[in-house]
Amino acid sequence: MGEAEQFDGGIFDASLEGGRAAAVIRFRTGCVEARVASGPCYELPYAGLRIELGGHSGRVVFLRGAAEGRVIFSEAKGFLEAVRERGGMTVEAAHEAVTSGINRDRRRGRGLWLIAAVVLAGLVWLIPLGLRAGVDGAVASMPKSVDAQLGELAAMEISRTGPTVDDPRAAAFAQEVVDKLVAVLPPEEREYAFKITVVENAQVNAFALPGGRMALLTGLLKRADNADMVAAVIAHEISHVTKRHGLRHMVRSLGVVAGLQLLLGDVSGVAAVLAQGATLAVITNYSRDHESEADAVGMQMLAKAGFDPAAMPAFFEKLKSLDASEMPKGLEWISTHPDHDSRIAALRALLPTAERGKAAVLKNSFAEAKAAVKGD
Amino acid sequence: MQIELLCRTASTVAKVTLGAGESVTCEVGSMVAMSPQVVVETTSKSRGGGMMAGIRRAFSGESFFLNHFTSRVEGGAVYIAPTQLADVYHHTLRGGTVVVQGSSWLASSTGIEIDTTFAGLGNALFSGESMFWVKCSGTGDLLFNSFGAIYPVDVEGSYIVDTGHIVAFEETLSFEMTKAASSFIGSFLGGEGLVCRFNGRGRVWVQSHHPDAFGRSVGPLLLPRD
Repeated sequence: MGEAEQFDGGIFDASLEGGRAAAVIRFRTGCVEARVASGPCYELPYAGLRIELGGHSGRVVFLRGAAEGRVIFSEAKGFLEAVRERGGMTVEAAHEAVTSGINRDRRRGRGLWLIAAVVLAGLVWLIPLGLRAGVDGAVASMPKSVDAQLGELAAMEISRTGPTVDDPRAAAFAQEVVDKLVAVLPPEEREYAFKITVVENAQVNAFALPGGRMALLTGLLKRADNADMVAAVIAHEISHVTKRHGLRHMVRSLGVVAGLQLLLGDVSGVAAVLAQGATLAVITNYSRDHESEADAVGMQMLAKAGFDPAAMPAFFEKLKSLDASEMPKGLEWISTHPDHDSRIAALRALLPTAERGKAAVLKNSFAEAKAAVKGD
Repeated sequence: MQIELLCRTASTVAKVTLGAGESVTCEVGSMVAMSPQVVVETTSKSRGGGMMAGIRRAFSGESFFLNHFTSRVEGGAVYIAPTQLADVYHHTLRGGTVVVQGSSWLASSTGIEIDTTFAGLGNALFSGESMFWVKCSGTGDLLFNSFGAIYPVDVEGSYIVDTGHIVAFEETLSFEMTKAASSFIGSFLGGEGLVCRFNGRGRVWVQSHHPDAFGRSVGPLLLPRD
C-alpha cells in the first residue's frame, strides 16, 4: 500500500518471465519506477505517459509509456493522485482525461442509484397495494359458505369469553336489535346467519365472527346509556361480517399462499391453521382500515334502521370518559380500536351523511335487558 | 512450504509440507490426511480479515470458517483435496491480486489475505458464477481447484471463456458478458449463449468442465428415489 511515495503494484514487460511481475512503485523525478522482487528496476517517463483505469474492479490504474509493451499498474489508494502530483504539468492532460471519465462514471452511477431507489420505493409502495388487491380479489371470489365455515371453527371463542346469559330479556333484546339492523341490509348481505349471544363478561366489548355469529358482552350492556348505543356497536360488528373483514384479515395474516389456496377454493389448509390453535385474534384483530370501514358502513346501517346515528360517536366518547382505575377492563374496546379521538372526529364528520329511516321501535326493553344481566 | 500435486488431474490431492511453526490456511473440510505433529485451528479470520470477512466469504460460496494447519515440527504434511473430482492448481502469488471463483479457493499460505469482491450484478446474473468472488492478495502460495482439468491462459487484448468455466483471473483483467456469435439467435442456437469476454492483460485460469452442465447431463440418468 502507499507508504509515502511507495505503492504496491505490478509491471508488464516483455523482458520479464511470463511477461509480468509484482513490483513496488515509486515516483522519481521525470519518471515512474517499478522495482520487481528479483531486483531490476523498470522506468516509464512522465512525458508521453497514458493513464487508464481498468481491471476487474475498474479501479486499477494502468500507466502506459509512449513505447508499446511496458505497463506499470497499481490499485493502491492514492496512486492516481500521486501520479498527478509527481508528474506535474507533463501528465496533466492524461490525468484530466481519466478523472473526467471517473467523474462521468460517478455521475452515471449516482443516476443509476437514484433510478434504482425510485424503482425500489415504487415497489415498496406497490407490493402492499398488490397484495391487498390480491387478498380482496381472493376473498371476493369465495362463496359465503367459507365465512360460515370459519365462523364455526372459531365459535368456541364465544363460550371461552364467558357463560351465555340465558335470560330471555337480554337475549331477545340483543337479537331484536340485530334483526332490525339486518332488515335494512341489501338482500345479498342478508344471506349470512346473523345470530347474537349475550355473554357474561365485564369487558365493554362485542365481537363478530365470519359468517354472522356475534357476541355481546354484559359489560357493554351495563355501560351503554340506551338501546341506540348498543345498536351502534352491533351495527359496527355486522359491518365486519358483511364486508368479510375476518376472512380478509385472516388471509392477510396467513399470507399469500393461504390466499391462493382460498382463491382455488381450498379451505382445508386455512381450516387446519385455525384448528391448530389460531385464536380469535387471527380473525378479529382488524386493521385500522377495516375499523374505519365498519364505522362508516355501520353508521349508515344504524341510521337507516331508525336508530340515532349520533349514538355511535357518543358511545366512543363514553368509553373515553370511563376512568381506567374505576374499570380496568373497561377500556378493552379502546385498546383493540386505536386512535380514539380521530375516530370520534371521523364519525361526527359522517353524521350529516347518515340518512335516518323511520324511528326504530323495539318490543324488548333496553332497561329490562340491562337489569337482566349481572355486574356492577 | 513445499507443495506437491499428486494424482493429477481428475482427482488431484495437494501435499503441503510445512516447516516448523509454519501454517497453511485451508477450506473447511478439505483435509484428507495429515501428520500427527500438525495441529488444526478453526477460525473465521484470515490474514487481516475478521468476522466480516468470514461473512463475506460465506456469500461467495466458501465457508464462514477457515482451518489453519500448523506444523509443530519440520516436515509436517497436510494432504488436501477439493470436494468434487477436480484438478488443483498451484499459483505463487508475488504481490498483486487473483480473483477466484466462489468455491474454487482451496488453500493459501498465511501471507495471503482472503477477502470477497462483488462480481457485479450483470456478471453475477449471467456468468453462471457466484455473485461474490474470493479475492486473494499478498505474497505466498495459493491453491485453487476446478471441476475437471485446469489450464492457464495469458491474455493480452481480449479472450473469451464460456460461462461457468472461469476458475480465477488476475485483477488486471476486466470481463464483460457478451454473446458468443454475432447475433443473439445464433448464440443461443449454437448452444453457447452468453460468454465472458476478458479484456486487458493478465492471466485467466479455465476449467475444462462445467459443473452445472455435468449435473444436467447426469441427472436424467439417475434412478428416482423410492
